[in-house]
Amino acid sequence: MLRGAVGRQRQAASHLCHLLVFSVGGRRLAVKTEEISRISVWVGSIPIPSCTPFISSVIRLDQAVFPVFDLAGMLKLRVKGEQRLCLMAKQADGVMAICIDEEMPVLHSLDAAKIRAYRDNDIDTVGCFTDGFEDVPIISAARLGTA
Amino acid sequence: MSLRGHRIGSAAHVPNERFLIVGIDTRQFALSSELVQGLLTMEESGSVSTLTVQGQEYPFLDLGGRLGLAQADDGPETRMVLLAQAGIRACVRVDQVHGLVEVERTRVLPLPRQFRNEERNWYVGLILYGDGVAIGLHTRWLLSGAMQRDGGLVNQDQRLSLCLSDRSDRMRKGIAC
Repeated sequence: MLRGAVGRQRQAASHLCHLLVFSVGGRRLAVKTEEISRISVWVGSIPIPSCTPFISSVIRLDQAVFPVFDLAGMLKLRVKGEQRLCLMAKQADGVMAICIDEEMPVLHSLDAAKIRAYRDNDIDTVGCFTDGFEDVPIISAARLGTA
Repeated sequence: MSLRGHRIGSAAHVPNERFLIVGIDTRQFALSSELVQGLLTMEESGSVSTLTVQGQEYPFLDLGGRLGLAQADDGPETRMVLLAQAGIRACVRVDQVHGLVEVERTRVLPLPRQFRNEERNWYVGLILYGDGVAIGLHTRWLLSGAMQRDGGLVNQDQRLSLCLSDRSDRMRKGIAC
């Protein structure tokens, strides 16, 4: 009986999805925490002439250089705040930086069953969830800039 | 900074490369020093489409335009950089010359793979320079612009092989490659 209870608890825990909820231009978005390697203060980007959509700058952190994905530009928004933040997203090609609003991101755990398909096509997502009256898209960091 | 050079890095056994760091618009670019033949002020160069220096012609190459950068007015720091390799010559206008640096190859980082398009042919890599990054321009791409201007061949590789194998005679006579 006790074994069974523990087993069910484990099963329930394995269905939890851990998200980081952040905002870009005031729009709330989420990403799976496993796709994020770091959050830090935005240090300013170095523009690089480029033909790749939404990737036309890099940031330098110590002795490393990372490409920047212009998520705000893709969503036709402007990043808000004086103390903007930098989200470092993991991709197969390496880590990529994204500038986000200064509003502090929050961790959010969600039953995976509550993730629904996202209706709009303005961004590549793995779905969305409802928070209050708002649908929050869960972006796919791994696929940003790969289309 | 002196144009005689500034070394970044310390280990003597690590292969080094020398670059001329120039500014165009708000960006810093690195040109292989092997390419650079000289620098001229705008007073010295004037506003001609082809510079003739010591009997050699250097056609003007609009590097800023090729990279889609804003064209700034001439200022006291504006320079014309004379470039040449394997008989191909060109001059490019830059807003500023920051200096000549010697960089360990380990400090020339590859362009991140997320840059997926045409720009992969433009750059040799990103060079850690000061607190920022200088964009290393690919010699082959850079000089292909000079040939494109005179020639008009469709295939860039074909242009290069023709010009590099034919050395300076065609250039002297002004024959398009």
